[in-house]
Amino acid sequence: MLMNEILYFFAGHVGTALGTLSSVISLILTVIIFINVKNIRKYYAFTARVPELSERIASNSSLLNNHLNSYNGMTVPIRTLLAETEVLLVSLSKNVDGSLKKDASYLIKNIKTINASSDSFIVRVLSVLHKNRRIDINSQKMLLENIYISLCKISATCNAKHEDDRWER
Amino acid sequence: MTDVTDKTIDAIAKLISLTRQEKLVWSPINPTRFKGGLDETILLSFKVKYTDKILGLYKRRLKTSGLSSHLKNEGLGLLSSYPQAHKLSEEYRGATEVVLEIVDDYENTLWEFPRERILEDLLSVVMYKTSGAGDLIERLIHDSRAEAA
Repeated sequence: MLMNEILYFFAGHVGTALGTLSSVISLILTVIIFINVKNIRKYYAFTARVPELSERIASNSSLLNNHLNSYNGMTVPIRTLLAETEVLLVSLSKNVDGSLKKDASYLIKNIKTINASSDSFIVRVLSVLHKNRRIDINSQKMLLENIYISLCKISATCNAKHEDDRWER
Repeated sequence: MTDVTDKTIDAIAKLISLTRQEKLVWSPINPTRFKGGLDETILLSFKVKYTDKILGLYKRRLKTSGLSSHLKNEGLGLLSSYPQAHKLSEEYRGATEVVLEIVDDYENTLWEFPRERILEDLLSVVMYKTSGAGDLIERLIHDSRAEAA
């Protein structure tokens, strides 16, 4: 009788310990699988979407470059182009991470700023009143040139990352 | 992004900016005079002097044989005899690329800038400025307004 009780006592504790241990192991495995699945999904999303986005961003940056050749203020085509580029960057930032995501987010902010500033009625009235339209145009042009360079860099980074990924897999 | 790519893009963007401001005036050169190996056809070429360096910018189309030499350079010479290589060479035939180089007085290549897409934008600005397209467009618009008035 006593022997049976002792065996039952140990079996109970060992059973609990084994149960706890297997729970911890399965939790760890679940986390590992979850991370791997997430990485695989991210890789396929990147491979499928990013090259196309990068191509369109590069194409828009070339168009922006053409507009800058004879820049004379924020015209409707430029603003449309920037709005379209902003959408592409938002989409890109959802599919990448790290410094690329940070760069894309920063550029989105810049595009929003320039589009908002050129749209502001007060800014336009003030520039006309102070006869500093030329200065306003020059500063806008400089901002657009910076946006253009950043777009080129983002596109080049995407292409480089895509090439690297191809070799890593 | 690598530091080299970053710097290359910044440098080429600076060239674009200087060209747009007309601080750099490129001169067109006869494409056949500039250069062109057996594997390439030079379509357009320009050069400019910046500080003490001469920069050459040109657009080239790679010929079919370019593929086999490319494969050989990559240590894959045997592949050029495969049917897939012929299919690839068809695609290769139409490929064009823009090259920016530092050249000597005799237009020999001293150093070639890394190939980046921004070079196409540089060529576009150089062509726009060299051709005087901007002035022509302004004149046409001015003339049509004058006629309307």
